[in-house]
Amino acid sequence: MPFDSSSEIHDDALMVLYANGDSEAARLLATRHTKRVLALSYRMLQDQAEAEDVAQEAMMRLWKIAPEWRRGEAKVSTWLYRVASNLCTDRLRKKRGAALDDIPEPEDDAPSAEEAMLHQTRVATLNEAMNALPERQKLAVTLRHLDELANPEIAQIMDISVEAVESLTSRGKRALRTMLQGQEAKIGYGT
Amino acid sequence: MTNKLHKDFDLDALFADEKVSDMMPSDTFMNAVLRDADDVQASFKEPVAVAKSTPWWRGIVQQMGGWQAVSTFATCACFGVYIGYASSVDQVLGYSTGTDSAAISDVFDSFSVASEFEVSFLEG
Repeated sequence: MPFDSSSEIHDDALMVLYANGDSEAARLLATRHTKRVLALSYRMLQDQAEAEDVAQEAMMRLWKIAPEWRRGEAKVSTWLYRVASNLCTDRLRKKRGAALDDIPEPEDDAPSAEEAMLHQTRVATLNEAMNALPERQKLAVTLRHLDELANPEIAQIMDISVEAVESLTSRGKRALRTMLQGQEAKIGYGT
Repeated sequence: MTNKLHKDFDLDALFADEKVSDMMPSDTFMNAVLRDADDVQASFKEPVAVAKSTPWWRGIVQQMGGWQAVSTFATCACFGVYIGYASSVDQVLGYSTGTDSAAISDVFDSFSVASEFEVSFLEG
């Protein structure tokens, strides 16, 4: 299957192809979705190994459900986000109680560049604040502002109403602002 | 004052920084995902154990309880058809009781025939 034409194949069709034994379909689905699922998992868990476990498990569930996949019922991406976010929430709940200090700082792989340092500091500061949010707020803010999904899709993923999504993201952002007050100078926004 | 500060804080800039630092899947990880896909797909292809094919009528016979039950059922069905279509009620009663039933009216309906048949059977 040439890659040019395959990029236009709908996910539903790829699911059918995969269920019928087309291994190229699996490669295309994995290429399209794994990165985003992994990114969401990492943002939620802040741990590479755990994020990879969750992303792999979510993809495994996608492969297994392929023969029963119902066309048009749900988008593959929405379904995957939902599975991954549930897996992340389960893990976060198990880890609840762990001190924020236990969360590892991102590795500094460009120590000499001041801008890179500042970038890392910003990311670390945001992550620290995000980790302090309740799980549902954190998930809503992540899906809305980092994965840039629309509210109706987030509502589907989280199995709540659009109004509830708006409320969660709004409260989440308000809480983030409160937590980040006074750190403007540290993250390069100070005067 | 606090609210104003909250609104002024540039969260979007922080989100933008976070997006840049997206974690990229390693080749090892992608290979593991694709290996899973192959394994699961292989399980779809495994031949399903199919029972040795049997004629359709044999299945029906088994469902009904074996050839004896089917024979009994067929006999009863034939007899029912015979009762239903027999041109003469006398013929039926004569066959079943061995008596002359000329006195019996030939305007019996099927229920009456069945009732008579049952009585004569019970009385021997």
